[in-house]
Amino acid sequence: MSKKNIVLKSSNGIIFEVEEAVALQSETIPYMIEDDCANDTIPLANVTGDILALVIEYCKKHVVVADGDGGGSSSSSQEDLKNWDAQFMNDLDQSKIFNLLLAADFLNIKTLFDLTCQFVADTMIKGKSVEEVRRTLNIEKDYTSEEEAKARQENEWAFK
Amino acid sequence: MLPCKCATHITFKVGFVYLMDLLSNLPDYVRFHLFSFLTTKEAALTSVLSKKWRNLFALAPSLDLDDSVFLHPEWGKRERHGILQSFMVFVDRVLSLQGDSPIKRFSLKCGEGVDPDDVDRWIRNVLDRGVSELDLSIDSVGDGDYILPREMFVSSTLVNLRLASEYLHWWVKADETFLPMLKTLRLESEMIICGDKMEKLLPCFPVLEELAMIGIDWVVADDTVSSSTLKKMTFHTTGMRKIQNPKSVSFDTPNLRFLAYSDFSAEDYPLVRMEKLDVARIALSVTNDQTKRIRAASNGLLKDDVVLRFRNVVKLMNGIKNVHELQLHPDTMEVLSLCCESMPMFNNVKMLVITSDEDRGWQTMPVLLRNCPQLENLMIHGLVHDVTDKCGDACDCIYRKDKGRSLISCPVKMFVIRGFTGTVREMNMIEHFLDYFPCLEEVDVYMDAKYLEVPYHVLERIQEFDFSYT
Repeated sequence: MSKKNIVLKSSNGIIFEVEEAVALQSETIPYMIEDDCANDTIPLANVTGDILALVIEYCKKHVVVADGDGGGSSSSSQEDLKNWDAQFMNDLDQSKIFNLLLAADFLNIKTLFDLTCQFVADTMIKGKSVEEVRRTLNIEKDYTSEEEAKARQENEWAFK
Repeated sequence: MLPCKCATHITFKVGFVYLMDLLSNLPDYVRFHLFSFLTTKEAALTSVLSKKWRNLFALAPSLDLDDSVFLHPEWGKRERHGILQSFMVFVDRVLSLQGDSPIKRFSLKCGEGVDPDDVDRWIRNVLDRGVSELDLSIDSVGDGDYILPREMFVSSTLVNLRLASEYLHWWVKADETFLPMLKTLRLESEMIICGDKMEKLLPCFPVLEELAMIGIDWVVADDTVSSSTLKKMTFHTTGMRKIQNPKSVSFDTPNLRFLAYSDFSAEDYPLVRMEKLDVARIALSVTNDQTKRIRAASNGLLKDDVVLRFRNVVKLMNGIKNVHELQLHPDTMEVLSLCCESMPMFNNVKMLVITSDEDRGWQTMPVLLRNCPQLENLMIHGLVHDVTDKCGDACDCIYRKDKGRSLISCPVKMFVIRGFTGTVREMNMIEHFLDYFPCLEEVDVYMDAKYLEVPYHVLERIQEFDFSYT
């Protein structure tokens, strides 16, 4: 079977040519192909080139394993993939992480969406104090001290 | 790219990083998805981040509540005055903020001291709102008398249901149970009591794909597990109540791919339909006394004894013979010794995992190795086994002329030994395997974590093996 390629264009005009199987991990792209069958290039207005490059890197890594083992990948390759995912996320700065999360949502790549959400939950919220979360995520405190005390009081058990 | 208006402006801004609150600007549904990776308690911390976050955590369609988890755990904290009260207030508040909006997942773990009426109200609340995943670990609520609401057994929205408790009573009968959407059912307990036998209960879950019953007892001595939709089944009986060795167990599960089954050895397996099975993990228990009688029986020394009927285990083995991975426990090896002559060929088995016990023998090991002609991976948990008069082929416990006969025809490439304790007997056995397995490429030996240091003489001998057999 000959491999079909798909051309993706980022919001800032960068072109990526990828194998169909790689691109089809996105559940959004098939609709775009149908809607836009006259044009060979699929424009992705919400995704910049640097983020699209990351999305493609992720999809390439994940397509190989699904292919190589006929769908049921062995536990060792699952383990390798998990380690790869962890390393992949660890190498990103905060802005890239959030943009990747939004791109995964827009492109509807469920495993990448889960991976990025889980990463944010695990590394930026879980086990952190309120002050730490505010600081690492630049969240502006707009409560007065009294209001904050009241908010804590409302969910008292959560702070035990 | 920043618009370049004037050079001085840009010079002025060098070193200034514009910090954006990226998290708060995510759409609500994305933040809800983020919450699904946190417990509701963890998510509730966000309520004090800023006004934008105040009640958002409580609106997530997935709730995960556990009365025993604390930010600052201290001994006996759960039982301290007012703590459980504040837990119940918290759950009530979250559920009331949710109103009647749909809910996807509800996980609740709670125990003694939590009001059973509250628990009942919470569960009914989420069932009313069409919950599809329900995960309940309820222990000693209402002195252990708490019973699940009847509505749960006839929910038309439940897809995944997990119930865990020290004592679990699936109290309604089959004619009061119908879960038309249920795909996974997991019951975990020291003792599960079902209102009906499996044969009647399973049709109440017409689309069930995954079933785990851990700690169940057969309601009757002869039962049939029948489902055309089941793909994965874990079935552990305890044999603690009326019936120890069941009279007859049948499996009519033509689409099953994974089976983990532990039970007391049954007297018969009249029907075993699982031709699509990939993985079988079988642990059939026998008592020490039954083991003695089994050994006598296989030497023709026993007439008219219940253990003679354990021979029917061969029907179970025939039913699972298409598997790729086979795991057997020490007692099962004893039971199977009754049917060595009629053991089927396992033509697809690539992975064989055997667990040994110092009180159980390896009488079945030679036939298993001979009957797995495609074997690539062999894993043995514990080489030490009880020496019987059948030893001396797969192992070297006693001398016989044809020693190693079953190993010579075995194509195994990868051999993993776990639970190695470093005795001379084990070292001799490894040497015996190295001598006779003709295709062996790699041997991995894992020592128990309790042995912090491998004795020098063991290391020396392993290095010797490494040198001589490479």
